[in-house]
Amino acid sequence: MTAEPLSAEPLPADRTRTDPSPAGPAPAKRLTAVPPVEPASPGSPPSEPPATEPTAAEPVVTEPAPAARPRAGLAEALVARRNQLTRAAQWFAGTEGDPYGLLLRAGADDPARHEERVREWGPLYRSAPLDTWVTAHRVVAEQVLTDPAFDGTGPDGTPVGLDGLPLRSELLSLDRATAARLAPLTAFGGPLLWAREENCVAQRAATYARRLLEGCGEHFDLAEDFARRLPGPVLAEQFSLPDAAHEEFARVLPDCRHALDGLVCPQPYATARATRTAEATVAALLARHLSEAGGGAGADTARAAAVLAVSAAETTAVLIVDTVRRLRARTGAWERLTADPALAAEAVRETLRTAPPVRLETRTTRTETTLAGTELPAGARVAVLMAAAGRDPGAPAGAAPLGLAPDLHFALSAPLITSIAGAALRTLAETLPHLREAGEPVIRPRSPVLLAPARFPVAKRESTPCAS
Amino acid sequence: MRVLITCFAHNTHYHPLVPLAWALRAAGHEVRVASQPALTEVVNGSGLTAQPVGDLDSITELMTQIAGDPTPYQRGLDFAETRHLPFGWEHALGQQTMMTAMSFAPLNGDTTIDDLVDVARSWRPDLIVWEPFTYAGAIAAHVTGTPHARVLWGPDVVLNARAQFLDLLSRQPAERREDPMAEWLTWTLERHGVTADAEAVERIVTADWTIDPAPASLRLPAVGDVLPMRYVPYNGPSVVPDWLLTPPSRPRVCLTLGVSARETFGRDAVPFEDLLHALGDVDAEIVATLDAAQLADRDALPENIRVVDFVPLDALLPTCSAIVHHGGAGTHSTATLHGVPQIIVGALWDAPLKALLHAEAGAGIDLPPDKLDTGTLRAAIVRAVEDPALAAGAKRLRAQVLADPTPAAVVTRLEQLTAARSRPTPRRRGESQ
Repeated sequence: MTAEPLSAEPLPADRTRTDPSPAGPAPAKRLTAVPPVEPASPGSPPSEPPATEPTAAEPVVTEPAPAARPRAGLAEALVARRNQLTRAAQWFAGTEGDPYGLLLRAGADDPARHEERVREWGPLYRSAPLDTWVTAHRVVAEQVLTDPAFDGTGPDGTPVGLDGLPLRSELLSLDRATAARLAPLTAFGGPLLWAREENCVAQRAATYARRLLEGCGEHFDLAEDFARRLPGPVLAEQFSLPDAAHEEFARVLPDCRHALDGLVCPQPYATARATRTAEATVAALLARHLSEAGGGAGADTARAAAVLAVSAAETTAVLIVDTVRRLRARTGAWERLTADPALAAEAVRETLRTAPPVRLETRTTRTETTLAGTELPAGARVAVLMAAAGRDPGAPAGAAPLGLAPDLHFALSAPLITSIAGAALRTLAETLPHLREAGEPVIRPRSPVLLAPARFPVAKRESTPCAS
Repeated sequence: MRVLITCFAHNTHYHPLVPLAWALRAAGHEVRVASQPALTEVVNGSGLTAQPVGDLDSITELMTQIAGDPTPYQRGLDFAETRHLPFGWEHALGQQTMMTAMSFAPLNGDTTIDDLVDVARSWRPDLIVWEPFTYAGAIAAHVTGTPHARVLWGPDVVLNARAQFLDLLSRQPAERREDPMAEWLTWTLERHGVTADAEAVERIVTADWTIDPAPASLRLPAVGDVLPMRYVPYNGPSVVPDWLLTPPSRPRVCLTLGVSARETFGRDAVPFEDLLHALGDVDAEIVATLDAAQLADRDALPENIRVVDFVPLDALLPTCSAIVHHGGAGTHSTATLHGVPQIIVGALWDAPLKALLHAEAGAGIDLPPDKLDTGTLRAAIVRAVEDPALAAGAKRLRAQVLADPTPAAVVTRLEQLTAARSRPTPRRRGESQ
């Protein structure tokens, strides 16, 4: 918005003179010298050193500012400004009542309300202010996630929405063809995951989970102290990283937590910058240690490992916490699990079915295509409300659970996410059967994709009544 | 003193600074006005020395992105509606998000900020005075350790909204706290090698002093140190028309829509000519400031309508019994100074709040744009002209304006305050405290 109507000054003078309004900027001309309009003030100002300017013929316009100093960080400042402006645009879309804008705003309100408004609109809702087609319908979602006309990058190879999200994750900006090429590298027993089968990964994950829980005090944060710290060491071990690298990897990986939300929602600038640094650290570390591992395909191996790690880490953490929260909220559910910890895997699958950790996916059209009867041009942005589509009452009977998207980064990481989360839940049920909430959970702001817990305080034992 | 006055390139934001600049100059101080080159002629037209800085790139880019129409983006600011309501975190955060990304940051492009810092380093002013959107001035002041003052042109909605925002922020869980304004200022200060913390941010946005030309009844609660100043109009270079020398034979009403007429009047499909025709039977002379584009056929208007292209409001308003306007800064302040009851059709920024404040002060009528039609406008004008209570309310406001210190007196105060203020140079990044 320009300031012109902001201050809204309507002096009639404006209409009779050249208006230097920013709306129609006059050509920038820097006058260097024009005749003086008046002699300089003869009097000496109070408490003022002698004037240092020429007094007889002071130019009305002074010389332009010295421009010799190099301008530091202008390009990065532009990135930061763009990041903020996109956030404002999403906020404004919400102000206009756009349900997609309200979803991306990710305030304190229940996103299901906005998701249902999208569904009520029909199979395909058009968010005009955010130039995005949005669906909450199961069949339409299925098409977007599987039809080759849709992809993670547009016809020119640009990731969805890159223009407004200059700080979005590079690792999670791959297209389907690349994901399909990398996916075999991350299969159980493949070049990256040495454990030959899922069961084996789960056992290793359980070992780390137990170790982490032993290190937690009576009161701890299930999200920060446990769920976010588990995927790092499990992956480091699977990647066979040497000790020092293992430790660094496990320490830095949780700092990539904002990558998935950052694909659609600009994160605060400092956060986005830290995420970018963490991602680069993870990628460089894996490149250093894995490039030789895959022979000629070394670069692909390292990239696959990085995509796997960044897409799995936070998703796994959210899936663990969400499953605990869901079970704790339902009478007797947590107790049934602790009575039979083998139910953990099924509990995780149910979370994926009913409240998936990734609530929102975006794709772009590679070519012109028809979706739900609507012609979309190439390069059109489409958002799939995964959580809403997963619970679509209009879904065909017997449709398989939607869960995580089958393509892009989750084509590499979905099995591992489920596996680690199942092992974590089982370990929690086995070792902390009396786990209980011990404080208000807090959802992270700007987390429309994951609704990620910023904190989920728990205690290991049931509270005991005071002796008195 | 050397005083650097800063204002982004818009004349109506610049005009309210001019009388203070004159007062500084007349007291013997060196004065330069820094703005983008687009304002140079306007600055020279006001008899002051221009210092061109930066460019309008960031403003132009934003205008392109919003297709030149900022009106819709006012929704969600709601300075008037939420004044007495409990103010929610989401609303406060939305205000800060929108104001920062869509006003303050684009109006203060990086090249402008950088040039201003260079000017401040090179010319070494004793005081930097800034128009309240022109944070580039405050940033340059902070980076160079120069005392600085902001000069308001309306109710201090920005700092009042920020005060409420900061209060709500402190009550949010740590993980949910975010501050878009601090975010922008932080990366900007860091670019200049200066450590940005919460204290630095608030020192920048609050300034050392706020100079407020509003009468006491129209002032919002003070945030920081406020120096009241009598409003002195500057309408730009002006010529008084001959007809203004003849006293009006019946009550005179000024109707001015300013540059935002399209937004406030046209949008709701009330043709301007219909409004004027509806005033044909009002016992008043209506002076409507319009240009040709706003009126298809001025000959067909009722005889009591006088259409003029331009007339300096400072000369016109002393002859008026009422004014209808859209809440612009100069119009509002000039009408308040002259004790004229105001009918305010306010849509943008603080205009709805001004309308509310005048209604509450018993000095005007709040006529929201969505209520405006020929009937409501006619009724409001008749009441504004006939109701002695409104005239008395407007006179009370005028008395308050005249009771405040003149710009010359404010200059004396600024001399004392600036001399007394010794400021530490801001901490460079990497230096320990």
